[in-house]
Amino acid sequence: MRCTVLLLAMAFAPVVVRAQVRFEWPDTTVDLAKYTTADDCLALSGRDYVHIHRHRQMTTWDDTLPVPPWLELESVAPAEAQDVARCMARFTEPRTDLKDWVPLTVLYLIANRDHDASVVMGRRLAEVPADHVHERTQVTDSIIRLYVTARPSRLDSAEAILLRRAKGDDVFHRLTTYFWLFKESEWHADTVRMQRVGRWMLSLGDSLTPAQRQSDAFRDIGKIDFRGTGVSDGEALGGDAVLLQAVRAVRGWTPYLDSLRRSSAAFIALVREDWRHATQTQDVSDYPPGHHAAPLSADYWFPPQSGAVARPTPGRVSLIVFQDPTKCNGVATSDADVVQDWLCLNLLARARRLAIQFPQLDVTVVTPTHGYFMYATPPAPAEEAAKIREFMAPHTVPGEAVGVSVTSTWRLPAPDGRIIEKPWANYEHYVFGRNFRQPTIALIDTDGTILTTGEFDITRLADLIDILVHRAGT
Amino acid sequence: MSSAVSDHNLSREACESIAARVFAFARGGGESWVQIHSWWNGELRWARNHVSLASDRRDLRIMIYRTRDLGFGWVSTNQIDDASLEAAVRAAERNCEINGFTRHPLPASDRPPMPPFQRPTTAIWSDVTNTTTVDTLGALVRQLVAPAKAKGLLSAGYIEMRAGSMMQTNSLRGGGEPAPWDVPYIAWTQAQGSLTVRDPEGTGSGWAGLSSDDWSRLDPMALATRAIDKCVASQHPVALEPGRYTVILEPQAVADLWELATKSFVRELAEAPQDPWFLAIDDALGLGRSKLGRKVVDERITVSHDPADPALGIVPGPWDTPVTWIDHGVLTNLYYDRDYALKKLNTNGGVRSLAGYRMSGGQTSIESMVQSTERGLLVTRLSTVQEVDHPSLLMTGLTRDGLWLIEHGKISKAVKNLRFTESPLFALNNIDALGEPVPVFRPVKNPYEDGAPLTPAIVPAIKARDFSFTSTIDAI
Repeated sequence: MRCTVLLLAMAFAPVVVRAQVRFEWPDTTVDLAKYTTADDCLALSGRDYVHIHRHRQMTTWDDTLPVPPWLELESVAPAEAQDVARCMARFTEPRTDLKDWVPLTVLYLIANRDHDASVVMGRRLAEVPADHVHERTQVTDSIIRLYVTARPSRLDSAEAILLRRAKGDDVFHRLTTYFWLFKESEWHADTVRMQRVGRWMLSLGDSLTPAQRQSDAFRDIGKIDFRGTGVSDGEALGGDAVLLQAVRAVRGWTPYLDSLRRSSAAFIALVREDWRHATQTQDVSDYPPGHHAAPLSADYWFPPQSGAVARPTPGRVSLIVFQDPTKCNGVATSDADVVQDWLCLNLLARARRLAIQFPQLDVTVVTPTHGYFMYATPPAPAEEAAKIREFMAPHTVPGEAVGVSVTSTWRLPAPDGRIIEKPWANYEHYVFGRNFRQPTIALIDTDGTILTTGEFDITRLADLIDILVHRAGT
Repeated sequence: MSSAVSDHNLSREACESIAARVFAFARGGGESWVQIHSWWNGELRWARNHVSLASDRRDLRIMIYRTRDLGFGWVSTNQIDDASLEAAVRAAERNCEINGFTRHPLPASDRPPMPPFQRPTTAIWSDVTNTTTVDTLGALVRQLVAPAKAKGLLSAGYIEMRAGSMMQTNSLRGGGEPAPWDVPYIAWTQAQGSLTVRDPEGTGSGWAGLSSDDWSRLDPMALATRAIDKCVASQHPVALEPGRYTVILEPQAVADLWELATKSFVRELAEAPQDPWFLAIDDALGLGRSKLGRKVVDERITVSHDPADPALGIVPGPWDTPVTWIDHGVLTNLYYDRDYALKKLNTNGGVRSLAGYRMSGGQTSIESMVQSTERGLLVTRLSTVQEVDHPSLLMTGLTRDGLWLIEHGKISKAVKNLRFTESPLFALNNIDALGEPVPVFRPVKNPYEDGAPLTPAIVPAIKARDFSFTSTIDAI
């Protein structure tokens, strides 16, 4: 009977299809309990950081102004600090694995556990025997780097470690470490610290022998990947440029302005003195300030009548902008070209701000042709000049004159066949020696004397121009 | 091309309709791009003399790009009804809002006009390939397996038919000239067969394979016979001491050795150090010189591509003009794109990459090569080839599916596989004899990655001196 009931139940029961499993969305809720290693917590921090900054980028437009120092000074976003603090709750000093000392330090500093950070770094340093000077120096440099690149930077802690660092190691290495702290201080607008560290740099620089200054190691100083400074592993500033920054920081900006108020000659004497100090050479032929500004030439002027007068125009304060829109736009496809784009647009934007602030300023934008423009068929020179002008039109600087020079080229023999451009005269006339290969602007006084070819800071340029135009007015 | 295209892939009309609807759904001005892929893959696999998989898959992908103001956003979908397409366009526009700058600061309408531009239509199409069904293949596979089974051997392999189509167009040039990066509607087919035969004891292995856009050009029964013959002949191999040997590389082995080298034919890279085709820095001009114009391999070697060559066909691409990369041993061309052409050469065109090619050969048969060899090795094919050193194109990999010792002009015995460590440049500079160039097995990869299949490679057998083998391998 029971069997019959069972069979009947089976016969009339609804058919259950088990061939398919219904799709269920995975549980994507963040479960910090699953984050068990320092690497997990670091990844969490990274994700928070990216998302928070992404949100800021989407809601805030930085315009063309310099990146504000507060961006680097700001604390870690509360949401990120909170997440990291929760994630790091499982780690206590001094019981962590020292192989993770770097990520642990980074995370302790984000979680505001500076004491634990110093403990783990101290344990790492204690591992190295006292007589292993080189290794201790390497670890110390890593600690300094961690403090410098922390969010926010712990510059006091970095400086304290730096003062205890061994003094007997490689002088170039030490100069490089000082330079880290120097640039980070600059980034944080910490002028007092910049001057202090700058003096240490100059003490080292003054002690270098001529042979040391000629070495590759000296030329390679400044090969550091600073956040946002544009100095990458691939391009060294070189020891001369690094020390020149230190000289200027130690002197401060006011003496330059005071000297310029007195005369251009006094200003040039001052900046040349700085150059001599930094480079330990008496030869200033390589140094642009003080040279007479060569007249600019162009094959096409926009507006056409602007070519009728000499440029830079005698009797006027002149700003020359060396532009090359063809190279920074159009057919460019690499990330490097994006950076170039940024530079190109910003130069014109800065020049426009200065021209609006100082209507007396004589702005000349000069640019060469290259035989191509964006993705058009290789154009004739006149056509390319018009396209360049068209490209620059949205970034017009009030009162500017734009001069386009046709670049002469020659072609390598087949099968290579590459186009080789002959030097651009306007550019060559403002290049002085190996240290200043890439002028982007030049500030010229009313007598036609170059005051600077390397100052990008719009505020400082405005300071100099303000004095020049008022001096000319009196 | 028959109407069968529409069975497996989107037709030209369907692609144009999708593009038009995408452009119509766009709001707020700006520029829209749409890239449309569709593909079909009919496949039959077998192992240990039994069919293990039969599949018939097809899919499509619509990639929608929007640039508006200075933003850029894109999405992809495989739904082509109006509601789905409109939702995808809206999503692309939302991405546009949050993605910030494009690198085109000019309003789109102010850009310079497109240069005149012509593209050939593809010739890589076969109705036979497109209409071959898995049912047909099932019957064929039974015939391929039967001889192996009769000899007590194990057969494994696959036969695959693919067809695909692609189109990319832009809202600003809807009916006008395509831009250099636009792709007018193209459709392609690809057929490939690969089979391995082994003895149950695992002492011998034979392989044969071939690929073509046209299934009717493949002779599967001949492939099966060849794989069986090689398996039988390669049984019970003996170990041979590694070292430098004269080798007879069958065409497939030559293609396997040369395959990675084909990726290196890039002019921009050749003008910088650490590239096989880099010559030196020209200190006077401050630029890198390539080996263009220099003899790089034996003067009997020419590597070229001609779109008019019926055996090669055309891979859809921007620069389908005849090109010779190596002319009688001299490096004469390297790939470059239009960016390079504009910037460095002030010309308006590039040179295609070495995706498909014909390598010149000679008249010597493999049998004649064997007869003229006092002591050497006959190599069926190479596998797991990897680059060891890029500047010298030094490769390493394994022989596979048949390696034989040649003594006194005759094949004397099967040999255990060996690892080779050698550069194709070295081999192509030590040529004793060249065979007649023939098509080889060059399977298509993921169509989403490639967009289109590799064109055929037509390669000769080569007899080369002093080819370096560095260790023995137990695997058959």
